[in-house]
Amino acid sequence: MTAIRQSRADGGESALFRWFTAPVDLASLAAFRALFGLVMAASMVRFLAKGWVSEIYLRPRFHFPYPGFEWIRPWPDEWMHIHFGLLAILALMIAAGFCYRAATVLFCLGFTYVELLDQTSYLNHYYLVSLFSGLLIFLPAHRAWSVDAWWKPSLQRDVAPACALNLLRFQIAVVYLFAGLAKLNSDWLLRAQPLRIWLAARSDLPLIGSLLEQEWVAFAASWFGAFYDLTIVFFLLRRRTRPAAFLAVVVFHVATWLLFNIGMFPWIMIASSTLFFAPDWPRRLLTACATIAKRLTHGGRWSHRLDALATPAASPMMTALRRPRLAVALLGAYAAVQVLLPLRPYLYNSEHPAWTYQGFNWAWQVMVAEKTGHVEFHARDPDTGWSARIRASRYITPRQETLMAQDPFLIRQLARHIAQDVRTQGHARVEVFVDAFAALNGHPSQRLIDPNMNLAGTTNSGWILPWKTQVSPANTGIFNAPLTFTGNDFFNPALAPGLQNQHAIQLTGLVTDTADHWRTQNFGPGATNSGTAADFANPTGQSIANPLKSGLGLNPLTAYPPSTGFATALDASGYLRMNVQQNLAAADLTFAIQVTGDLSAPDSWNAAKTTVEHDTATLLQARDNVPLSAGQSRFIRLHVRRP
Amino acid sequence: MNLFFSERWSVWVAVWTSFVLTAQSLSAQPAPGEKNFSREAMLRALVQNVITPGYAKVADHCRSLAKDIEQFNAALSQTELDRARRSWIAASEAADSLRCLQTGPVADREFVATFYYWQVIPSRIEGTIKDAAQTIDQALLDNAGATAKGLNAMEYLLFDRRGGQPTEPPDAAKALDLLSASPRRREYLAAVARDVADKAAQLSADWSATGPQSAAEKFAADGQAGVNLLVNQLTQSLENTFQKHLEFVLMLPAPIDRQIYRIKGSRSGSSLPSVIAMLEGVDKFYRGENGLGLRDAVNRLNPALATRVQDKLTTAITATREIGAPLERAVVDKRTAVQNAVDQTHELEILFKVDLASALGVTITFTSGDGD
Repeated sequence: MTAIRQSRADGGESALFRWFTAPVDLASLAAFRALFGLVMAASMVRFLAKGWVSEIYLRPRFHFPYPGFEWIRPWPDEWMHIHFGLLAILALMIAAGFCYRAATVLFCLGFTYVELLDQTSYLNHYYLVSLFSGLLIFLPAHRAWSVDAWWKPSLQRDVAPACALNLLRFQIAVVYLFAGLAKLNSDWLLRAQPLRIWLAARSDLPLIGSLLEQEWVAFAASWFGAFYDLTIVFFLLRRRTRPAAFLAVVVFHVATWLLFNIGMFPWIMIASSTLFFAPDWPRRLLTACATIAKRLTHGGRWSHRLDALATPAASPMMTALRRPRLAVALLGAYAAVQVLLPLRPYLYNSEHPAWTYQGFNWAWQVMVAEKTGHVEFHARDPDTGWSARIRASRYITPRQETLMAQDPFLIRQLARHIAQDVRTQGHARVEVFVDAFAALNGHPSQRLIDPNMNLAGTTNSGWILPWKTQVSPANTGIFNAPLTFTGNDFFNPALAPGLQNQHAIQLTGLVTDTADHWRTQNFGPGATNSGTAADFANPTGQSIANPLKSGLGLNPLTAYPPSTGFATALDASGYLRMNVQQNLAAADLTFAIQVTGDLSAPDSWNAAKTTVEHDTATLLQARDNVPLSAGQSRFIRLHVRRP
Repeated sequence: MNLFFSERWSVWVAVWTSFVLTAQSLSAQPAPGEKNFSREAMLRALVQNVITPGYAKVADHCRSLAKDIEQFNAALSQTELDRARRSWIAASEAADSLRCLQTGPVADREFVATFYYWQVIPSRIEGTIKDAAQTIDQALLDNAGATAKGLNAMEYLLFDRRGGQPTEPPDAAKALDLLSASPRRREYLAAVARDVADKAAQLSADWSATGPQSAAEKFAADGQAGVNLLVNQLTQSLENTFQKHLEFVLMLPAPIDRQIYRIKGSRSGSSLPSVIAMLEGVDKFYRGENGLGLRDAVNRLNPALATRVQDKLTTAITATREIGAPLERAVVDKRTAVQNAVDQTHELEILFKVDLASALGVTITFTSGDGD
């Protein structure tokens, strides 16, 4: 600090400020401009050639706009194709340094416009392209080796302030470091997920295919990937390690390009890693090429041209920062935003940011999630009782549906759009609910969104259900427990060995009393509470006793399988659910589905801890409010009684 | 540039290459007792053990059906009609067990509707039969739409009228009476039966063929793309089974008697076996029928999931069997059993669409609600 203060006193400039504005060779920046422009031009042409313009922007009837950007709409029909064609031309203009400022501004706006059209088209590297093109607007990358500089020699410069180069290096460092941090989780490091899934999917590749299915390969790739992301910037910065690091960059990104459907990202990262070389590397490369050309052509004109290109101007001048302090402040603010944005996922209390998608985008969460989902939309009008399943395909394309099913916020967005649409059909107070399930990184699928939450209304904080990594449905099972009826002691654990080790148990019923009319109807007018007609008797010797058969409308003298008349299931989210076929004629009986977590406490059976999903004259369906979790048991039973 | 040619780097490159090649050759050796798995081997095994025998069975049943119809046309007896009806049900079930894979020759030759389009339009069939100016031959059938021919048009002609199909003529109550009274009706029935049998034989021959351009070879050589296709098709089939065959009947408005024609197989009383056959078809592709199947692919990555899917398949098939009566009857007096089958099939669909697709790195590309 003393030195800086002294500097300020001496010349009004701190050491930091001087480091920031120190001149560096412009060649590296100009080479990056050319590489970036070429990669972008290729990317735009690829987009057009693969038909993605129609698929992503023209086919959907509904887009998922970003909040606040709902006003951005796609161009009609062929104009969207023209837009991409113009982006390709602009990218080539950037590469050539032709009308550079206008080209970078228009490319940045045009590309960002495309990205803002639909959230399902978000990709980390598209975000990086927007950032790079935005930064290039302000950098003097066109002042060397460009059409602009050739046309207007006064523009020609050989050096630029160091901040121009360091800003781009900082941006790349942010990408790598946060991508590395995102990989420091148990799925990536301890389960080699999602790489295990993705590598195995490429096991049909020749030569290395069988290797890719090996677990150790997935682990090695996971750990190497995390190490690479966290350290590559430091290795690229050090002169001694730079060649090996660049080789690693090339091998790593070419491998990811070969193995995964990752688009232009590897080429952008390879091109941008050249920024870490000595700023004059393009001149040295040109000099080396000139030497080779000289040998091959015996001093032909190509070698002279290359030499001339490599040679800096006689009087190197640097573009002065017009408002240096403002520039430093703005760069500081930009850097702060770039560091803070990727920290968002760590602020939310979620097991994995890819589950809730809170803070997942714009945070360099690169290749850390394999998520698949399934969503069903149900609309209901509480005023009229009208209800319907709404097909997402009425509004969105299969591609959008696949991506939407992973992101609860997009699901909610479509739910609200559906509500808006249904309201126009006369259902003013329509409610929209979803059955949404998702599987993340090879874990069993779970419910993603509370099915009882009306997504068309205001959603509480708990509408996205938490991700449970410990639920293992493979260890749970429905146990058809046989019953004995001795008074109120409805259940004899001795008849069900191993019961306590089960997570989910179906009990075939509990009845506190039976109905006289049912007894007389089935056993004759003189039947009394004795013999085969007695309460809790079981004339067929099976597990369903008289009172329960009464409630379910079954014949007491017929043998039925234990689960006749009702069904219990453990749903994909780990909730026990029971549905019961109620006997209309047994009007004197009441039915309740009860749950407990402790069989040793008879008083703990409770119907209030269930959610009744259907309660009609003939069907009762309810589910437990508490999902199963590791080491915890849940039990569900039908309780039939005469009040 | 010297970096690449220095002695030290040459040694490193040599060591690394040797390591990769050794590891590759070691990993290629299957562990004792382990099936020699690859995606291509699995797809090849499915062709050999599931698809080819499946189409051979469809061809056999369709051939028997055509023969039985010829015999009925000659005898015009209830006994022969019942025999033809049994043959129809067997052929329909055999076709339904392959309904989950509508790719390859059945799609390329545009035969899907012949076996799987079931919402035939009686007025179209009756119109063709009544129009004596038209000769009933293969050309007529080739020009007829899917609503007037195929396996399910034969169901309309072979079985008695049940339920109030609005477009059906009021006198279409007894198939035996109608067929006995109309030689042209019998001729049409026989022509449709021959057409279906020919197409089934063609599909069976296509899948049995060998060579690099054969259907079997093309299916097997697809690798991960083939797995993608297979999982997508099975999942779509499960979704259709759940939504359009099981849940659909629960949603039909009462009285059900007037809605029966909207249930597949209701005329022949085969609505439940048809659903069971569809689920069992998925099960065969998953288990692999005495060879590699999709389960082996899942098992290598997530054994718990492989078991879970198999258990859920078994549970769903059992729950559907436990309905124990044609859907059009069960929906009236065994709604709980139907509801249970709906729930189990729905859970199975989610397991395929979410867990299994995720485990195998498959992207689901069909749209929910796509056609049956």
